[in-house]
Amino acid sequence: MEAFDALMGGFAIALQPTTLLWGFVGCFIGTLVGVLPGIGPALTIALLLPLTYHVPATSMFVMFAGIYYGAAYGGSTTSILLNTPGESAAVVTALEGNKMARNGRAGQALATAAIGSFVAGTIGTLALTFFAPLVVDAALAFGPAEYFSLMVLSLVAVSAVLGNSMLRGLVALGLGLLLGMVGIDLQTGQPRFTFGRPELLDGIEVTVAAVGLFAVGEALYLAWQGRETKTGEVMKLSGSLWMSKQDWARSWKAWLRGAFFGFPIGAMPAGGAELPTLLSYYTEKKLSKHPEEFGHGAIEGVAGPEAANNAAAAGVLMPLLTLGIPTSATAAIMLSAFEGYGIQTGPQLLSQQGGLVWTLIASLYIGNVILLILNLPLVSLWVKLLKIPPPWLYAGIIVISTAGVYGAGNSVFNVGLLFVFGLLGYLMRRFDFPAAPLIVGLILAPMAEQSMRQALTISQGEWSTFFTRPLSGSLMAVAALLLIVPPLWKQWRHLQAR
Amino acid sequence: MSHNDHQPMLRRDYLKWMGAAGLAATGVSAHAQSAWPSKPIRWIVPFAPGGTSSIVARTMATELTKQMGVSIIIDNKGGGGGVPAMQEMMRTPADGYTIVMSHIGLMAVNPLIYPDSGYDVNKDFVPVTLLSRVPSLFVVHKDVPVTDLKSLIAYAKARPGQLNYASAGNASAGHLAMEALKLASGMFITHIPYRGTGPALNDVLAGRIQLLSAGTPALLPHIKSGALRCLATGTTERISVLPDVPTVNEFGFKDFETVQWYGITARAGTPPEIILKLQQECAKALKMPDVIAKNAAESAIPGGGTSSEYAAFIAKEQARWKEVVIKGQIKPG
Repeated sequence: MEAFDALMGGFAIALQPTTLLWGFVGCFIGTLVGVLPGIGPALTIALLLPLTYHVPATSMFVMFAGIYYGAAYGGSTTSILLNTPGESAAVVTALEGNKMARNGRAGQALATAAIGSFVAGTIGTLALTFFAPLVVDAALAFGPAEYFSLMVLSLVAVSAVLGNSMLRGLVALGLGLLLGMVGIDLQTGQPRFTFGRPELLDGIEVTVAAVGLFAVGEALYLAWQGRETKTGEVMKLSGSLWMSKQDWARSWKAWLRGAFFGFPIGAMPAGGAELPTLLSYYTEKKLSKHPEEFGHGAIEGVAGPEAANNAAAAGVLMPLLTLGIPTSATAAIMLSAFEGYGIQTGPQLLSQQGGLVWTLIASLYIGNVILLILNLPLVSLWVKLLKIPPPWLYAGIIVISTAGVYGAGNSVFNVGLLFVFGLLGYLMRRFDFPAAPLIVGLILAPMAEQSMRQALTISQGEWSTFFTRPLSGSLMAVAALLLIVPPLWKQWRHLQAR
Repeated sequence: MSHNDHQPMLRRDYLKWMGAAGLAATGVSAHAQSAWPSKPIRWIVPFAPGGTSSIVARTMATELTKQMGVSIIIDNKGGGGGVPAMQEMMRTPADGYTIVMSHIGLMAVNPLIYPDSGYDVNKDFVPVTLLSRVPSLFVVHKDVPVTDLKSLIAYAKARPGQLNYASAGNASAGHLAMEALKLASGMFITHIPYRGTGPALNDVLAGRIQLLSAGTPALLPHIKSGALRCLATGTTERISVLPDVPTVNEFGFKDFETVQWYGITARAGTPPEIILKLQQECAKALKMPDVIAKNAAESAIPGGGTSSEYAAFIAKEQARWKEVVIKGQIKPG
């Protein structure tokens, strides 16, 4: 139990009153940036970095841990209440979360998100504490071929978010995949569909597209609706804000499964937090005893993806702490922060700077608890947002989205892009096309294309590499089974019933 | 000076800095040139916040702010290979109140691969000073049976096109360095680009890809742990953190140098006395303990020379990379 003793040492340092205070500050700021669309934790930490060099290293890490987890959690709040995800990993949460809010169950949706984030964040941190070396080996085993197979599996899972009409869903997904092709072709360096604009060379930013489609699109849609029907939309809150016994029963397994997806995929260098939310949603929809509720506010559809999101946030720290490889923008900035304190990251970090690393891990546990304490009472405050008259609320959302997108990249071009996507989002809602598949396509297309071509270059053009490598082959097999078995099963059940 | 040239900057920075300080409230003087600097200086860094370069820039900015008595505001404008950052520079007046962090890609490679960017790095901009040079290293995975550059060349020549090298992307410093080595030695190794050094490093550590060239900070810990073997450095002299590793020059490749460098560049037409003042302030800041510590952590070689020295350095680099870009058929990325 060497890890345990070291962890206790970390707690002893992180639990000092002033350090805790920084933790609270971090969680508060983190929740705030998570809630505000377009502003992410990476930008926030980057801006705070120069200010924090005057603070002791441990306090700073406790604060960063708070910002980090706070942002992962905060993104879900606006997803649920206003159908406007603050970040791309919260897109899936909006699917069921917002439906729950519309049914007057905003309180329960926020509560399952908060508790699920806590449970999954704690599981992720536990895994980080005790299984770091194992997971790192597994993550290193994931090469381009394995990533491509994971993308194929994710494309199968997209079927869960296609909405009521498969054709409309596939159109949205296809549009997303096409938009994902914009930018420089990584392998040959050929610019594609950039129309000579250097801003498009790196592709369309997922955050801009997500905030545009959901936040701006939603606002435009409500404006149109108010004009057409004169009724507008006022959401009602009914009954208790707290989760019932049945809500608990339906949530806890989803939390655990979400954490199970989130942590390992987050720990992979090119995994990210979006894929696990999608896979979790797919699993919950397939396993639920109430599949008919999906699309109308199923609580599992909030609990699972939210847990996956926060467990992924813990996973992302794994390659950073064990190999010194930053795999997300936030991790890259944390790496700079380490360097700012003269700490050399890399494989020897744990042996050379053990005290600091264990303090950071301890502060992740503490950050999780602080978030729960901070957010459960806030649930009743957040739902009051819905009492603001929609015209004011959505005008505010447009202002904040614009400021957030502009602030993130200092780019007027991105603001223009935000409104183009806003218009697209409005048209898609107006004609009943789901927006989530488009975002998923936009995320998957560049990753899938890139890993496929890297894998083929490594294998000297042998397509069999995707099937002969054990991990990659297994993923492909799972994808094939998921594609084939459910329809056959349905058919069989149909025959049995007759 | 036109009346509202500075307005966009105030709005832009207000958003980013409203919590940090009341910088944006500083008045705009129409007679800025008489006693430069009399108002905040905006320093465009053509990378997303958080990278090595913007950390260097922030440390420098803190020192310069102390020395010059006006705020130096870092404005991260990443993406597009740095072209949008330079186009933004073109929209600012040549008064020394907007400067840009120039680097190998921006000054030596982009002119060749983005001919339609709407500016000429040599005519529209003027060098201020070189800030630092970060050595690039050539490494192999530990299981590749080669011990030095000579045995690598023999090994690669026996297996043309079968070895792969990873890079942080097309036209990244690591891609260019490896193409330069291939060109000098006549090896045929396949390029596999990634999005950033992290993912590239991951596949080399896992042994799926044999070779990589990148800057010292990213590679050093893995060389120390034994996961990667450093065959040669791209510097002209051996570096202090790896005293046993020979340079590429030592293997008989004369005049071979691949370093990643960063400097400061202003708009052409900026008064020479402003350029001189800024260069002197930078040279002074580079000698401050904080900056020295940052540079040492990256094993970077500090600059600080005059404008004409930097201009000569850039001209030499442009000639060096022109050959590599054309013969290696390098495209943007």
